[in-house]
Amino acid sequence: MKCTPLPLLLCAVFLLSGCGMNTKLDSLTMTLTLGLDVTDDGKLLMYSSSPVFNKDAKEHTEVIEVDASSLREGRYKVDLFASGRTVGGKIQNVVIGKKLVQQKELLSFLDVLYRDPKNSTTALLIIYDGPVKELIESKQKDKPRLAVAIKDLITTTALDKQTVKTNLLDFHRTLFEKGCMPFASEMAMKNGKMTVKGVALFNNKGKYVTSLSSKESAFLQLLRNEIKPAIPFTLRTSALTGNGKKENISVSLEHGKVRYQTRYRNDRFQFHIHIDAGTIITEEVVNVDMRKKQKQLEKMIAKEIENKTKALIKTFQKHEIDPIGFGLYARAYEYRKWKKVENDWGKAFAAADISVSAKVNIISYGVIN
Amino acid sequence: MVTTRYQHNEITIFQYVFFIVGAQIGIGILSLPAEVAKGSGTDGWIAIIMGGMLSIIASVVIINIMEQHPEDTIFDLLPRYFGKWLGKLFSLAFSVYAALAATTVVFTAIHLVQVWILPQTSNYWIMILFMIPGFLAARNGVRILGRYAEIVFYMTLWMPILIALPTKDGHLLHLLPVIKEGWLPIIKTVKMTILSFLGFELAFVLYPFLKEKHLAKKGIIIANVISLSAFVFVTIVSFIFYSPDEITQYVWPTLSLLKTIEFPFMERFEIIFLAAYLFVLSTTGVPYIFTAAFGISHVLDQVDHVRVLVVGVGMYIVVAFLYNPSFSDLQTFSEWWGKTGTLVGYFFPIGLWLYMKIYQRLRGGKPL
Amino acid sequence: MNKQTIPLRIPSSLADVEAVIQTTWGETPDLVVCRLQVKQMHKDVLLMYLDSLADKNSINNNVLQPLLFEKHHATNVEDIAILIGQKKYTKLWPDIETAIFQGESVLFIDGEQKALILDTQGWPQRAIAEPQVESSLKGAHQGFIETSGKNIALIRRYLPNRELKIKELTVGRRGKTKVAILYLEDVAHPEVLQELEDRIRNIDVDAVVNTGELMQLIEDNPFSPFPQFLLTERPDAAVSNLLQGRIAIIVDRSPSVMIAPMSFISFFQTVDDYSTRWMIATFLRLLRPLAFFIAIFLPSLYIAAISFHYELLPLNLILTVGESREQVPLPPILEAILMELAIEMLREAGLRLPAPIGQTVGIVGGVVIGQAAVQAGLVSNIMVVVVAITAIGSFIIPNPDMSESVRLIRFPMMIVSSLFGIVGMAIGLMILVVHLACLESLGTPFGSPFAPVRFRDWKDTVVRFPLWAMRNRPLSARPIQLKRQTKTRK
Repeated sequence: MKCTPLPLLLCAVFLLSGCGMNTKLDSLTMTLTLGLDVTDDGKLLMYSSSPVFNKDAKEHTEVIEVDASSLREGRYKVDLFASGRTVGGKIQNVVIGKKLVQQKELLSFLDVLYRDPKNSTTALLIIYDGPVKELIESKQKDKPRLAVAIKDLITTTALDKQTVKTNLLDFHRTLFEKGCMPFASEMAMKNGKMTVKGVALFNNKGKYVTSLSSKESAFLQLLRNEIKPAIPFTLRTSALTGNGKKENISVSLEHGKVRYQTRYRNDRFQFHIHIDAGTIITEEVVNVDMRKKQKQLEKMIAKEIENKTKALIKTFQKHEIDPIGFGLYARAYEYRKWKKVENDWGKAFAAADISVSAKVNIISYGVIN
Repeated sequence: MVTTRYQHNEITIFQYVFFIVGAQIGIGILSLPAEVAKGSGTDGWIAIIMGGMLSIIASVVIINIMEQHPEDTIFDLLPRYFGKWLGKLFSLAFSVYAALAATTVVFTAIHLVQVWILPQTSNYWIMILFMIPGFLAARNGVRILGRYAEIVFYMTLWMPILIALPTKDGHLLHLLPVIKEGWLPIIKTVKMTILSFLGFELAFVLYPFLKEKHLAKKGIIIANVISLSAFVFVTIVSFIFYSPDEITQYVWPTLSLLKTIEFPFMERFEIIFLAAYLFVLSTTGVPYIFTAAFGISHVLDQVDHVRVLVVGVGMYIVVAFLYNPSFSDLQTFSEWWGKTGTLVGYFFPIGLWLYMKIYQRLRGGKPL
Repeated sequence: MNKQTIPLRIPSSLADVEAVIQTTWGETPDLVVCRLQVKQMHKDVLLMYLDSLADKNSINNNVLQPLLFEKHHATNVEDIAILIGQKKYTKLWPDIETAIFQGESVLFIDGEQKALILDTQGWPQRAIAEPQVESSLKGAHQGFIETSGKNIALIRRYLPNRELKIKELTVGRRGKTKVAILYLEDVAHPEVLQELEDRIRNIDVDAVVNTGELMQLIEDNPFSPFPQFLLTERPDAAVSNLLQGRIAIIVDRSPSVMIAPMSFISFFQTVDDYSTRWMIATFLRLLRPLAFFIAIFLPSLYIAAISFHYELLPLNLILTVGESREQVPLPPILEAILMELAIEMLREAGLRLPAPIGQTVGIVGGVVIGQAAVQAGLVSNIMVVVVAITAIGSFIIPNPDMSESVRLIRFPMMIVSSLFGIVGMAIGLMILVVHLACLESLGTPFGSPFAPVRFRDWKDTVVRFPLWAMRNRPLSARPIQLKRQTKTRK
C-alpha cells in the first residue's frame, strides 16, 4: 500500500501564507483587571489595567479609563488609548463599584464576558465599596502587580473563610439557578490599603441587596457545606470561668457534615439543618482545665454555631434572598410545590420555617494543655 | 480461508467497533446536554438511553440484512435486489446521504474552530488544512480507517477524565427528582438524540470487511453501548455542573464546562481539548467522506474510489472558498442530517429487511 | 574498457594466457604474474594475483612453498598439493577476472584448459572495535566491520544454530556487492523473506557502496520522513532482532547491518533495555517517546502559545514570557527557526570536525547562543530554553536515523503552528498518525502495535515487562513461531 508524498503535501501548506491575525503576546494590551463603575449622573465608567512589558516605560501597569454604554463599546474606546490590541482572555478580576450594582442589574453589563469564548470566565468577581478608580489606580508599593495582588488577597482570604471566592462562571450559575442566589466578595480601601470587607449578596436579578461581614462569611460557608479546609471563628463566652467575665476562645472547624431535611407542611417549606462538626481549639485566653469541661465546652460551641447561623438565616429571609441554595433541596424533594413558587423563590424562602441544630465534637486542644 | 473480494482490506473486530464508535461520537456530543435539557430538563439522560436502545435495534437489523450476503457492501447488495438502475439510484441516495453527513461534520468543525480558537482565520484555510489528513486517511480504504479509528480511540481516552474534573464544583441535587414531569417529555426528547447516534448505519459498508463475521452483532451492540455511555456520561456531568435553568443558555455546554479547568502550568483547557477533539471529529467525518466516495465510485463502476475522492475533496475546498455557512445554516444542515439519518438509519433497514424477506419468499425461500 | 575481445574460455597454452593478460590487464601495476615450474608435475605454471588485495604471506607459505619444494609426485591437476582449503576450478575467463578482483589468486597450468582459483584474500581491513554511533553501557563492545564474512561470524557466535540461514545475493553491475540475508528459518515469515529477496534482486544499479544506499533502494515508501529499516552496527542488536523473527541484511564493505521489517516503536529501543532491570528499562522506554513528542512539538507549542493562544499560559508565565520577549525584534516563528537552525548547524559542524576542534565549536556555540544572543536582544531567554530542551529530546532517541527524521519534522510543525496555532499542530499530528497507520515495512504494518493496536506487544514496547514474563515474540515482525520460552519462574 502506498502513501501520498507526505512532505510534499506539508510543503504545499506552508507555501500558502497570510492567514489569520497574529496575536503576538508581547504586543497585546492584556486587560488583567477590569473595572466598572457609574458616575453620579449615571454614566458607565470602564477601567482597564494591563501590564506593560517595555523596559523603557516607568510604570509596569497601564490604566485606561473610558466612559461607555456597554463593555464592548468600552473595549473599542480602550483601544483608542492602548498601544496594543486590547484582549480580555486573561482577565483576572472584574471589580464592580457598589454604586453600580445598587442601581442596575449586573448581568447585562457582563454579557460580553460570557458570550465571547475568548474571554476568561474564571476571573474573580469583586464588589468594591467606593469609587473603583481609587482601587484601580492605587499603587501598592509592598505588593506585586495590582491584578495579582487583588487575586492573591481574595484567594487567601477565602481560604480562611472570611470572604467567598466567586468567579464569573459561579456568578452566572447562581444567577440563572432559580433556587440559589448569587454572592461575591467585597473589598474596600482602608488607610490607603486595600482590604477585604466581606460578602456582597444579590437577588435573582443580579441586583445588590446587602452585605455580610467577614465574620458572617464563615457561617454562610458552613451553611453551604463548604467546610474544607477549615472554618475558624472566635467566640466570647463567660460560661467557662463562672465569674461572669467574658473570655475569648478560638475554634477551628476542621471537618463536619451538614445535613438538610426538606418538607412541605402548612403551605410552606420547612428546612432543618443539622450540623455535625469536629473542631480544634486553636486559642484559649482563659485558663481552665478543658479536659474536665469538655462536654460543657462542646455544647457551648454548638450553641454558638446555632445562634450565629440562625441569625444569618433571619437576615436572608428578611431580604428574601437565598445564597445557601435551599431552593435546590426544595426542587429535588418537593418538586410539585417548588414548581409553583420557582419564579418567586425569594418570597417563598422568606416564608419558610428553618431550624438549625448543631453537634460539636472536640478533636484536639493543640500541643499544650 | 475463503478468498473474498475485500480480503486485502480486512479489519479486526476491535477496529470495526471503534470505527462505528468513532463515527457516532462527533459533533452531537458537544451540544447534546443543552438540547436534551431543553426537551426534558435533567431527565434528558433517560431519553439518551432510550435513543441508544433504538439505535441498537436498528443496528441489529442492519447486521441481519448484511449477514445474508457476507461479501456485499450495501452498494453491491442494492443492485442485487432492485435491479441495476433502481439499485444504482438507491446507492446514489445512500452516498448523497453520507456526503451530507460529511459536509455537516466538516463545516461544523470549521465553525467550532473559528468560534473557539481561530476567530480571524478564513474558513477555506481551515478547510484545506482539514482536507489533507482527511484525504490521506480516506484514500487508503477501510483497513487504514479502522486502524486510525482504533488508535484515535485510545488516544482520546484521557478526555472523559478531563470532562469529569469540574463535577467537584457541581451539585448532584440537580439530577433530582428523576422523571419530574412524567414520561411524555422524555419520549418527545428521544428524537433529538437520533442525530448523535447516527454512524451505526456505516455497518452497511463495513460489514464485508470484517474478519470475524460471527462477532458482528455483538460488536455493533458494544459500539452502540460505548457511544451511549459516552453520551450519558457527558450529559450527566453537564447536568451536575450546570443548574437545570442555566444549561439551556449554552450552545456547547461541554466546551464551556472545560473553560474552568486550570492547572498551574496551563489554563483554558477548552482550547487544548477542542484541538484534540478534532481527532474525534475526524473519525466521524472521514468515514462518511470515504463512504460517499466509495458509493459514488460503485455507481460509476469505478474500481478505485480515489478519483472520486479527489474530485470530492476539491469540491469541498472550492465550496469553502465561495460559502461560509452561518450558525443557523449549520443548524439547518444538522436538522437535515437528522431527518435523512432517521430515514437511512432506522426506516431504510427495516424496510429493506421486510422487502428482502418478501422477495426471498417469492423466490422460494432462498437468499440470492 | 572492452577494446579487445576477451576469450570466453581459457587457452591451454601458457603463452596464449600471457598474451591475453597482456592485452586485457594493460595498465595494472599491482597485478603480479609470475611463471614458475612446479616440481610435483614438472610443468610450467602461471600464478597471477592482485598485489593489493591478496595476502602475500598466504601466497608465500601456502602456495609458492608447496609448488616449488614439495617432492610428492602429482599426476593430474587435482592432485597438486597446495595448503589452501578453498580451491575452485574454472574454465571460463570471466570467473578469473571476478576472482582476481576478489583478492584470490589464479594458477594457470601449462596444457590444461582449467585454472585453479585459490582463496588468498587479504585486503586491508580494520580490527573489530567498539561501535562508534551506538555505544552501550552493558552490551558487548564488538561492532561490525567492513568485511561481510567477519560480520557473519560475529552473528554466528551468538546463534550457534542450524536454523540460522544465510542467502547470498550480488547487487550492482559494476560494484558486485555481496549481500547476505540472515534469518532464522523457523521464526521468520517466508512471505516477508520472499518480498525482501525480490526487492533486492530487482535492484539494477552501478554499485551499492553502503548499506544506507541499499536501504533506500528497497524501502516501502521513499516519501516518508521515517526510516523503515534499522541500520545497526551492533551484533547483539542484530541478533536480538533475528530472534524476534526479523531479517538481517549484511552488505559487504559496509559496517552497518540492516534489519527488516521494522516497526516505529522499535527505533526507540536499545539492547541495553534488556540488560538493565525491568523497572529502569520501563522508565526509559516511557521517557523516549516523551522525548520524541517534545522534540517534535515543543517549539511549535511555544510558537502557538505566544502567537495565538496566550490564554493557555497562566498569568505568571505570561508576565515572564512577555518581559523576556519584549525587546526581541523577530516574530516568534523566525526567532524559533533562527535558533533551531543555529543548533542544527552546530551539530553538523561538530559531527564532521576532528574531536579537538569539535569541542571548540561546542564552546563557541554554547556561549554565542546561550549568552550573547539573549543579551543582544536577538532572541528571548525562554526560546533558548525551549530550543535546548528540544535538542536534548532529539538526542535521547537512540536511533540516529529516527533522530534525524524528528529534527526534520520539527520544522514543518513549527511553520504550521505559526500559521494556524494549536489547530495546525493537531492537524500535523493527525497527518503523522494517518501516515504511521498506512506506512508499511516490507509489507508489515509500521505502526504496530499502535496502529493496528496489539496489546500483547505492548509489554515489550511501551513498557518492558520482566524478561520471564515475555513468553512470546512480538507480533509486529509476523514470526511464524510465536512462543520463545516457557515458564522460568513460578
